[in-house]
Amino acid sequence: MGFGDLKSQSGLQALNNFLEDRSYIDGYVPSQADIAVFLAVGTPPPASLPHALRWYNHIASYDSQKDSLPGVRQPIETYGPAGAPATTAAAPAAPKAAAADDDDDLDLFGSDDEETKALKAKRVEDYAARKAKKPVIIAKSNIILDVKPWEDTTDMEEMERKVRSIEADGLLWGASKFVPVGYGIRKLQISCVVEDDKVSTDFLDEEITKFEDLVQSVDIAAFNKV
Amino acid sequence: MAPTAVKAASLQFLKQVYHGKSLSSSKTDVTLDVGDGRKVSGIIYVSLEDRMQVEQWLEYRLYIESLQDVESERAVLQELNSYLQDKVYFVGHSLTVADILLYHSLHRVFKHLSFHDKERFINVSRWFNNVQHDRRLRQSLTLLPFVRSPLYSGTSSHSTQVCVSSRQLPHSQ
Repeated sequence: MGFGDLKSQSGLQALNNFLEDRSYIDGYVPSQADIAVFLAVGTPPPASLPHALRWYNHIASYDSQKDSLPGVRQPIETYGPAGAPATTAAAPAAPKAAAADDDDDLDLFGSDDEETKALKAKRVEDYAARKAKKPVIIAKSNIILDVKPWEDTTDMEEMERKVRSIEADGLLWGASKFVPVGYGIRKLQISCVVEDDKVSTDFLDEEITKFEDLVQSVDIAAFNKV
Repeated sequence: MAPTAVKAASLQFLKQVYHGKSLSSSKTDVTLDVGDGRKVSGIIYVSLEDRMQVEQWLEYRLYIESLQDVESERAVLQELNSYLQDKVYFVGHSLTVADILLYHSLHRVFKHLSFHDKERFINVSRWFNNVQHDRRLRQSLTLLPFVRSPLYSGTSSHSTQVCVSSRQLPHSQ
């Protein structure tokens, strides 16, 4: 997801929000992540986005060192809010690597000699390779919908068939049952599992109410994160 | 306190915290020898103005140490918060003795600060969280938690919201 278009106002706004409580894009020291985003931003952000401007001016001061900063430049979309888990995972990993290796190697103010630089670079590479092998967890939710008919004579089986005919990438229909609500009217209670990024409840709502001769309304009875 | 005395006190403090067998300072640099042949190369004062700024912060830090009540602590945090709005480190673009000493002095203050207050003084919190992650700098002090939550901030930029609607069924006539 990242910041979006960093040349646009919304992208810069996202960057500003992200940097409100962070000094750097990734972790606690300047890295290639900062350089990557810096190059994508291009020009100093306006003063109305103080955190982005603060970060920009700071990274600009590293211009002469930009190739020697730690890390590996990733595609720009990997940085930012959705990449936040990567940040929190990287932060414990970095101090762990520091703790694991001898104190001798790490200078307080980062002026390494050649050997330790190579060692650090290799460690970062190994970490990135390990991270890349990990499967990505897709956010899913379990939604239970209540589909209500016009009257008690409405063909509920027909309605169920029509609802189940709605297909979308990331949508999986589950169990269903007919729940009586009084006066002989039954509502269709059907559950589905959706991938949050691909299917929205608005989409489901729209699609189901398209069958207007059968469906009076649709409600979300329950919405749970899986 | 005379500037030289402040500097001496600060260097003494550094020596204490970093168990330096020998701390040497020249006109431009501070070098800490942490023993076993290890030398921590110091922070370079880039310019004369930077050096003067650092020394001002060294004095300010003694003021922080002298604070007794929560009100004055708040006032200090407020001042630091506005100062750090557009800065990543206290002086210049890299870590200096000012950051180190202020970190050590403010640790006590931050330790008993609520998450709500940490959110209020977001710039100091940001600086503190950044600086404290350097293990060597932190030495024996504890790593303090900084967590953002929509409870404390106005925006929910750091969390996703899920809405559940359950309307009452209309009774049919």
